[in-house]
Amino acid sequence: MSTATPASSSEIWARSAPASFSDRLVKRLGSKRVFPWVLVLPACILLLVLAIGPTLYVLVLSFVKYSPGQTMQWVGLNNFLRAFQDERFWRGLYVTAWFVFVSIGLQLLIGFTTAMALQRVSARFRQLASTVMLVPMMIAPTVVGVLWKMMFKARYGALNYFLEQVFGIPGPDWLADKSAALAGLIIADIWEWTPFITILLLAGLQSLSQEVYEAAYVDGSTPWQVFKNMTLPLMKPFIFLAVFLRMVDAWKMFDLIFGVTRGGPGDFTESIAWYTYKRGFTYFELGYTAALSFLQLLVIIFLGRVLLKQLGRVREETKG
Amino acid sequence: MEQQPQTGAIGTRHKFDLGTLLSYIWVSLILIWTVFPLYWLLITAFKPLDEFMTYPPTFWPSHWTLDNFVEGLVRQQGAGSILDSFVIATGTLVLSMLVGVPAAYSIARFKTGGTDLSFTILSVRFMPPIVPVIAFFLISTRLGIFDTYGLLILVNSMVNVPFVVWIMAGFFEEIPYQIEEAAQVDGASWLRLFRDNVLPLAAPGLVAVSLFCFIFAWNELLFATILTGRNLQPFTKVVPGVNIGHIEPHWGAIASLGLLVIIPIVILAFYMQKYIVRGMTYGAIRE
Repeated sequence: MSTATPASSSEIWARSAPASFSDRLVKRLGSKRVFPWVLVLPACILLLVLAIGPTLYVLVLSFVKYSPGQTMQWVGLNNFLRAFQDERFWRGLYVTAWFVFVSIGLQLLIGFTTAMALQRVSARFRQLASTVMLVPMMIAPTVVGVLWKMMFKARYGALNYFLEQVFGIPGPDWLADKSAALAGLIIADIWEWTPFITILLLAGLQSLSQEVYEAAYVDGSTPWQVFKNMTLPLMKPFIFLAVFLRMVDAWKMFDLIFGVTRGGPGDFTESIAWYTYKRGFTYFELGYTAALSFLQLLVIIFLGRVLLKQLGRVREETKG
Repeated sequence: MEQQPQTGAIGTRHKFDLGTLLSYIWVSLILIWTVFPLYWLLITAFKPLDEFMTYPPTFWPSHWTLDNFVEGLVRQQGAGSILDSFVIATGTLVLSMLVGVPAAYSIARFKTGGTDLSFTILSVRFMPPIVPVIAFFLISTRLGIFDTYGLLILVNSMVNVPFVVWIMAGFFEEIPYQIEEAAQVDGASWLRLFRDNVLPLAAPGLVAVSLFCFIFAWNELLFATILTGRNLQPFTKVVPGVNIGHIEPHWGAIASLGLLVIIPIVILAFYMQKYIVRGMTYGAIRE
């Protein structure tokens, strides 16, 4: 046995094995074909039981009428039809769209500007700034919510005081006024997530090759031309990655609303996730809730696919 | 991370021009905007309660007090609530790593299940938690595990295992395979091989990913609010609702608890700064 031929991994546990059942089992599990699957098995079981199973259960539930304590009643597609006629459902989608499109658009604009600016300041200042920027994105979104709720207090809050002192305009009663409440949530969302986009794009900018830039400047291109013809196209994969990562998250918008407005005033700042939560755990119409949440899952399946493709693309590009 | 030691990474112009000046101003403004709300939280936590209701608002407490912390931690039972969050986050960290790391190793080394398996696992991460929570609620009440640490650790692990698998697979891929092969030739068992040849090299990644799991579970709200009743009070559910009587929020207590729960996270974030972009982009960007 002790020759120079390298042992294959399947033989590793096979050495000096008296052939008892448990030893044979160990040998079998240790073989190169089975062992990798033994390692992934716990994760697969956990995800099957806790993710796939419940999702299928919710799918079934979306075809019944059910509240705790009552018997289930098959209603076919009625829950879905009801959703499409439900004004609060559309309202939820509309509010969510503000986060998915408007808020992320602004975050991208501010984030890109900041990332470009960070490239031009000294390394030490850049380091300080990117460290500070970690805080909003890493702390609990609920705390971000209450933090901004304090800022928004109409009379005692810091924000309106600033608006009045610096710009001389009276601030709105942020949490009582319909459109101000939504704007307030967007402001808090921008505060929380722009740093993430900034840091991501900064990493992207720093991965770009410097020689290309220098060549462009030698060619006599203006800074704007360099930005439009070089930076932007090269940064495209990073921009898409940032946007889709944020979109998947924003589509689930819940925590911030819990901290700031709780969907109010009225139902004016209810995101789709918040409305679903309300339906389920205030009214306990679980069949209808299941249908609502399943519709949200369909959107995520689409967004998630785009995101996965983008993840792969950026990973390839930054490999070297 | 810093390949360019000199100022102004773009282009070849290093003199202090208008663009650089504007950059400094812009970054400074962004920093003020980022820090101010945190500063406001800090001083609110130390202000006497009635000072929250003054006009104009004060930007420095008239005197610093710890009353809010006593109110928040003791009278509003914030201490127990922080402990609940700590148990759930730690449990999630342990379970997610125990289940996720072997799978990550297998996927990195043996390409188990090909790309299909790893992509399927990651896609679970994107699922809106509102979808399975209805099932969790019904099943856990039926099984009598509603409102227990075990349930919350399980459901948080469901979200975090895909993260661990995906990110750790990336870390394992970076470890040269030759070392393991050499050890295999020597006839080392898988367990020893993993412990002696893989773990030490993967250690920084393991620590970073564990901390990520802790932070994600610590910050989690939706499960924490729907799947708990009277027994568990994770802080994410409690902090926004700390009231005086039943009407006006006790802002001092809210601020003090908010401050206490973000301090550990801020420290962890600084410590693992190098890995944050990598973690938050699911390993797509490796600085």
